[in-house]
Amino acid sequence: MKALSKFLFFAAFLGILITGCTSDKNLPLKSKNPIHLKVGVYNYISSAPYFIARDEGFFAEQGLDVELVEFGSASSEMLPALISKQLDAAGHTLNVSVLNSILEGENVKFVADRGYMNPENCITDAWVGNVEKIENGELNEPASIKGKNVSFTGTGTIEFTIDKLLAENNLTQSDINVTPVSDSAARVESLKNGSLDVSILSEPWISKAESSGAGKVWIPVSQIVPGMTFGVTIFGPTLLEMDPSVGTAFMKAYIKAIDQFNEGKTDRNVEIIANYTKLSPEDIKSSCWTSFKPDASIDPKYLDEFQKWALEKGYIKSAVTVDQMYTSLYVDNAKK
Amino acid sequence: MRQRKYSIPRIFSFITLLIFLVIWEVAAQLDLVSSSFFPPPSKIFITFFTLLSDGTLVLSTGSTLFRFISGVFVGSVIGATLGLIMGWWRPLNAYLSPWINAFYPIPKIAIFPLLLVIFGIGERSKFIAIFLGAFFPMVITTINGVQQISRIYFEVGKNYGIRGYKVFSHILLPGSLPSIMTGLRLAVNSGFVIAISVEVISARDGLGVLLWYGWQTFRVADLFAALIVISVLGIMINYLLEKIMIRMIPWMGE
Amino acid sequence: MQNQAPVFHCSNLSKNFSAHEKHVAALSNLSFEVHQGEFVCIVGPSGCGKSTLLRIMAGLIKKTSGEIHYGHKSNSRPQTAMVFQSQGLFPWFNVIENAALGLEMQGMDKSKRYEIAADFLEKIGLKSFLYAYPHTLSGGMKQRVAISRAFLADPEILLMDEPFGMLDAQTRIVMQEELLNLWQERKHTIVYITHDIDEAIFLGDRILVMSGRPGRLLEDIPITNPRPRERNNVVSNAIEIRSHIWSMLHDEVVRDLEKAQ
Repeated sequence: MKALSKFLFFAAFLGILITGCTSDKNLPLKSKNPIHLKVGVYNYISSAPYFIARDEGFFAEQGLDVELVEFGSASSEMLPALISKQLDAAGHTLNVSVLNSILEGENVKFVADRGYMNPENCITDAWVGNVEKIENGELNEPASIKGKNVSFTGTGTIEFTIDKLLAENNLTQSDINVTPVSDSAARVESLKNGSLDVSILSEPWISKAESSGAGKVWIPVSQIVPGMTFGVTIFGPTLLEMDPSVGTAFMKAYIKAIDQFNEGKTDRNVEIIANYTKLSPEDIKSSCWTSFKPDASIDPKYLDEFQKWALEKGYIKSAVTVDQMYTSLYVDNAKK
Repeated sequence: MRQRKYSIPRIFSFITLLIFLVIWEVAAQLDLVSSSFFPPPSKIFITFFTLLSDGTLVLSTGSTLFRFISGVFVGSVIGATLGLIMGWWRPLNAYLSPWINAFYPIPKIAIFPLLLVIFGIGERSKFIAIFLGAFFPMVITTINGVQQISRIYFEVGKNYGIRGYKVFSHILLPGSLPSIMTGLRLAVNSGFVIAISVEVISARDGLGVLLWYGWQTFRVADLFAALIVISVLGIMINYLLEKIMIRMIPWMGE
Repeated sequence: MQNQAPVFHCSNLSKNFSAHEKHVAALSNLSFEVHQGEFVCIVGPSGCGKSTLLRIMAGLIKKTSGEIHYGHKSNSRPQTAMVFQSQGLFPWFNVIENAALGLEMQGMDKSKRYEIAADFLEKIGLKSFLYAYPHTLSGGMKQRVAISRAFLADPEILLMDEPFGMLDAQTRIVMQEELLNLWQERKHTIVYITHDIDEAIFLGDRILVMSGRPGRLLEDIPITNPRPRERNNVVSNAIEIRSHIWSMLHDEVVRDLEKAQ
């Protein structure tokens, strides 16, 4: 008995060490002190609602003291940080990793839209082609992607779109030459020198590719998957276990920020975005801006489609229900 | 009668590992540690054997080894050759040393995007990164290896008629061989780490890609399985190196 | 007809070193001869340039001024072969490879030179160590290999730079006797540096006494004791010679110490 209790003590000690201490954030919002929240963000225009909500004081007026924690674009540390309660929320991408973490039993959920593919918008994400090949007709139709050197990074919505594009033309990934290059500058350069025929690019890199003559938009992503959710806001275990009024307050500020963002390329918006993305105001103004759903809702059919694809690809072993992945609770309450 | 192959300390080392695994298993099963980040060893082993039987691990290991060996081999050979020349010929050393010292501390991973642009997005840029990772430690230790050869051996050589090429074969090369072996060890380990790292950044296949996918898809057991292979490879490579060292430098004492 | 000319001859030999604007005169106006088959010992205080002199004779350093002549210049035999104080055996060669080095450089093929070297090494008691590496040998054994190497090279002159200086007293005594045995066989020409006056008297036909830095030749003393030399044989003039040399050196050593202050 003594040995067992000693062992449990030691194991518990180890457990605490690893999972970290939890703090008590279950106070309803009526308390005086602002609730401190940490939100993981990428430093891109597509995270603008967080920037605006913070800098314009929208979070503050909801009683929230929000700290934005920056992550590099190719990093996969945001989700682990969220799961291990070092973040309360994250501005993430729709990605297989979130599904797998839910399957592992982690308490994370999609709660809001953070950017969708709007065919009526300018182009935010596109498959960009080498200029010569577009002009001389080698890339005159989607099916001509066969046999080409194509660059993208996988396991997320981008790979979803390339698979969709290929399937629509009776092709699979084995019909193209997949060349993973995670660095956008290298992609642009490779398009220029022809070692890449097609690459996925996001703004501001599309503009840079076009202006430098490295590439030309070949197929906008919004053409392949119109309306599809690409960016998501995720709540982690801390925020999901708090009184719903906290998450709702967060969404109120968030939606208000989206409204301001949708006012367009105002000086104030540009200023805030420049502050976080470190891009020049000129670059920001000339980039195509993300489309955010005004009510920040997610249409579950896209989550469903994405999950089916992930299952087929073998990225996840089994499916979860929509309710396990997504809750509209917070955006619904925020509207009231 | 068979000789005892493993010493007592090694057996204890192994037992410690087993105890650690048991504790981990229990802790993960009882949810005392987050099983998302530290899947129980049982799950890891199952995943490991799944990936082994479907060929993923074998193919990935093959890709990584191929890149690693080619890059390290060329980097080491060129590094050792240049190091021998630079150690012997002072003007060349004076000329090249600043460049070498300037580039050595730069992490090859940090400049990998530049390499991608210069050498293209295919295998060449990865090869160059691994090559550089092996080249620098090798050239630097080799130069040192030549310079630490006692002057007396050269005097003996001169006195007993060693001239021309034989100065190289009879004094320079064997004299600097211990240092070259040290350099090789550094080059091999550095090259291996870089091989995995560049695969994480930009490759279709290889153990580094498995690591990357592990985090990208949040299948942590896959990741651990890849880590196991990497560790085992590391042990095997260094063991092999030791054997090579003993054969190449029989004159060094225990 | 035996060659009567000296095997080695130098006159007014001087050597200066210059490093970092400091000029050090190491040797000053040395003149002496060495004849065929002689065992010449050189004694002198530390730093008097004995090693420098030997290295000049071996062709490892260039003289600054003066003249050097070697006697019979043979194409097949090397002029000199040196035994260094720290042996200088190649750690990466085993005993027999080290010993046969001179023969190898003279172009002899492997089986022949190994045969010759093995014979010699057996003679001096290293039979079971032919394939051992130097790091497994004691100091005395290493020096025996170094001496073998020099003898096997069959030079005109054998140069020895305090070869037994690093050995303990007993080993040293045994090695001196072994050296004389080897020398008796073919009466090589040997120039031998030592600190040890007793050793010089025991070994040599002549003793060249050098001064402190810069090294000058103080005296050239013939040792006429009959061979084979017996250690316990106290010959009257040996004691005289010894105290004579010692008094010369003593002054030199004291002078050096005073200079250092």
